[in-house]
Amino acid sequence: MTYTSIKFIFFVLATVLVYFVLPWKKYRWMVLLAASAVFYCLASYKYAVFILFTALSTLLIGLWLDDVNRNGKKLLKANKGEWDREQKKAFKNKQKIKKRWIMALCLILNFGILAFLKYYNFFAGSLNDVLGSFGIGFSAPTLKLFLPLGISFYTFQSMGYIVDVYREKTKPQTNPFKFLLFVSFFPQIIQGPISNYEQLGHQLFEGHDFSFTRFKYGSQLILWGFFKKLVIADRAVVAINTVTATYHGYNKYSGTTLTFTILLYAFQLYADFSGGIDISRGVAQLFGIDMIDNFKRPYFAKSINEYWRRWHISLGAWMKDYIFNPLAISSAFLNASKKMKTTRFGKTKAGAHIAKVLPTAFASLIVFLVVGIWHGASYKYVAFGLWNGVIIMLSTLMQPLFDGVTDKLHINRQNFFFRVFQMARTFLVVLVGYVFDVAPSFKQGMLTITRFFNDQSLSRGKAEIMKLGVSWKDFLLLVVCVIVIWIVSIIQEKHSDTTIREMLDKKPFILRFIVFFALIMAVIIFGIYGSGYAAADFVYMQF
Amino acid sequence: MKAKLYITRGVKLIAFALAVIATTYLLQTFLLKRIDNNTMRMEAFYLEDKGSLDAVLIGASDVYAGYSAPYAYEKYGYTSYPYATQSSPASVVLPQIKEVIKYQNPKMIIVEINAFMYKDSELAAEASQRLFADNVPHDEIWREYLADAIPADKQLEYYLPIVKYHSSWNEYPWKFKYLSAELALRQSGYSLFRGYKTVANEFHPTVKVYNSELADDDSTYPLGVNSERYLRQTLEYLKENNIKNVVFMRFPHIVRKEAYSRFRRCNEAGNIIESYGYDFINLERYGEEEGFVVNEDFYNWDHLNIYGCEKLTDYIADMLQNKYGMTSAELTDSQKAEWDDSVNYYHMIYNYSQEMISRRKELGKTGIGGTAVAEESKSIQTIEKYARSHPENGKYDVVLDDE
Repeated sequence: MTYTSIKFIFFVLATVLVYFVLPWKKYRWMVLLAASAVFYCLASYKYAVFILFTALSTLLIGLWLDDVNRNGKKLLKANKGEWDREQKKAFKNKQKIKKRWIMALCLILNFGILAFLKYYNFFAGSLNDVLGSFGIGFSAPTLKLFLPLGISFYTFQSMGYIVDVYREKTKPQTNPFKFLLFVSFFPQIIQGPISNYEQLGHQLFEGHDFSFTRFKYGSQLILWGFFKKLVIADRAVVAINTVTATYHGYNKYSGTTLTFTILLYAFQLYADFSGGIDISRGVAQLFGIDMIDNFKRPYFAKSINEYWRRWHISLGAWMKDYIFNPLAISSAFLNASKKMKTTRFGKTKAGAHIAKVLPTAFASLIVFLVVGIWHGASYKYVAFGLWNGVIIMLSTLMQPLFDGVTDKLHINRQNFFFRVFQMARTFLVVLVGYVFDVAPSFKQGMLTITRFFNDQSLSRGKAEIMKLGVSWKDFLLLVVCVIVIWIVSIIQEKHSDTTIREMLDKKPFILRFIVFFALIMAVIIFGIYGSGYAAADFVYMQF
Repeated sequence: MKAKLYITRGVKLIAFALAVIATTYLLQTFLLKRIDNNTMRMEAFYLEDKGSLDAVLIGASDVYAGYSAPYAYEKYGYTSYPYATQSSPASVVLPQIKEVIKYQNPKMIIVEINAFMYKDSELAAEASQRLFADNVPHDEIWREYLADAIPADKQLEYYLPIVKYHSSWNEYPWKFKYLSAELALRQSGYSLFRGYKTVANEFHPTVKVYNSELADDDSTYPLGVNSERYLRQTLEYLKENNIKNVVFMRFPHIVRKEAYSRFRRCNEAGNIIESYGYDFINLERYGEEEGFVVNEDFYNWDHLNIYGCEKLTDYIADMLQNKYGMTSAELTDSQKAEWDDSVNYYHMIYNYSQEMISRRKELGKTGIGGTAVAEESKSIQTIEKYARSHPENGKYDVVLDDE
């Protein structure tokens, strides 16, 4: 049951009905839990044991951590007068180490399952390659592994929770069913967003009253998501899949076609992922639950750093909270920075800057390496992560140089054309990263980049593009839809304090009528659905 | 105050929902539906006045290419109609018979057995099933058909055909040629072609054909399991309901090596049909004896051209009148006028096709190919243009566009 199927619409409507009809508000969360269980089992009942394990292990370890915390505090309080400062410090350290081990147990268990299922074959293959190159006959077996639905998303969400409990930022949940709902909430299970317990958890358990306005906004957001996914993403994906269908076939395309495919992928991926998130957030909103927004017009970013603050925001926030910050303030990184400051180079202006930003620059590189690997078990994703990480690292390290050049050239940073230039430059960097996403392998990613420069032919490209299984009328439609999204994005960018839906709500009824009528008709007429088409999965579902 | 708000909201919501439903309905029943000569043939059948048809022929493309209702009306005086769609599968035959009885109850029903010749793997071809299911009234017969032949998870698309056909926006502007013919059909209330479709060609096979050797060949080959089940189900229904005015036929085809097992399946089907006490006339087997000539009467392997069509229509008319006592139709003046219109159109089709065939022959074109003539705007314009430029070919009562 995908988010874009008629079955899902009926499923959501039935759940909404039961949720609001249930007279006991404090038990309404159970409706959500039952719906999530049904949704998960319909999609992947054989693998439900994995999500149950993650939920249960995280809950129990969270309670254990809380127990250790409370006992420690009790003990400290009991010995307040007896222990001196040193003893208290030693006790606190001991407590910290104990808690760390408990948290590590949870992380190892759950990330271990994820890593094994997602990356075992990749590592076994790589190991075999390395051993083979040394003439060692050992061969690690490859296994037929499967990925339970949403494993990356619910594992990251649960592990975020356990770290927050460890840091005492979150009070642990004691009710296993409520915690299971937090882990498996059906609108977010397929592709996120990766929510924070403090932000989402409590909303799930509150019994919300029906609000017409929220219901209306939720429905409108779902409709917008359907438009992006069914009209744009699933139309564009036909051409992209044709190009990437086979290793051999991919190599035959000209640089022009590959350039076109990467560009098309940029729009397809955005429409697919943000469309899916809009549906998720819209469905949650029907129940009165606000999930965090995962996108903020990413292609309007003026730097790659900013792009990652606008794209897949929840993953970025997770990485920042749980990997980047601990790394950037880790003693190893801080010591390296300090050491550099004492060197001769570190005393120059440039050296001082580099020494200062070194921890964040390296932390960024590592974070993006992790982001790359999170996307999939392949060298091409490693390259994707490294590309972004290196660009961010270099831009952080060389910021004074760029600032200096900008000042020397007397460029006004607020100038419209300069901002457009920055956006275009960032988009280009993003496109290069996408090359590794689209290409079937790392090697072919490199081949694509080579062909950008030495295999451009408009006539050949045109002939190839017209054979990608998408008619010229479909391409024309895609252009029109991208323009629509672009205009909407500009309006959103200019009025970031509100939403288009709220803005529209203040307009006359007839205008709203026309807008939503046109949107519904666009989805009905131009959407890619029905038995003539194989429904395309959401791209991020595979991650 | 609150009540007023709720009423305003309710009215707005209902207005919006109605606009969406009405537009969707308009799209799915008109602008985005599949329209071609098959759908129009089906639609036109239901435009015929109830009980005004004397004979109805059920089957696939062999039927609408091999039988001309206007020609039969002009020459023999009875009204008839080919209730047939392209590649019509076995699952639709019984519902078709039920539909024909329900809407026309004609004196005779002729069933061409092509539907039972398919292998089981070909039976569930969605496009062929839909040519029937999408173009008949959504009545009890239709619901029974869906329950019997369409998988449960696909049935919703039959209730809401827009789910299936929404992408046909892509067929515009080409689709306008059918849309304008559809408009004309709805406006006039009857079909000019009366279901007829032909291709102007005279096909000369270049490989060995067996038509002259078939009369003595009574060898059989088993039908597909489901085809046989559907055939027996049809015959049992006819027998149980004491429906006797049904005759089964196999129209003439050119039999080559690849189609020989199909010929043998016809013999098998014939044996089954006769075992239930129904007549089976196999013109594939006895075609040559009845005067069907391979190098003259076909436009391709499986379809008769205008010459073959007239021969077969003569054969069927003769059979209906002499063997089954078919009498001339009793029609009102307006019904007569409508049939006369069709007769005139048939003359134009005939003359145009004849001319095209001779031109093709002069160019040595006797392979598969030729100009299709069917109820769609391009064909109508072409044959009307031809009629205007060749007044010597006949008297046409129809008012042509520029007159």
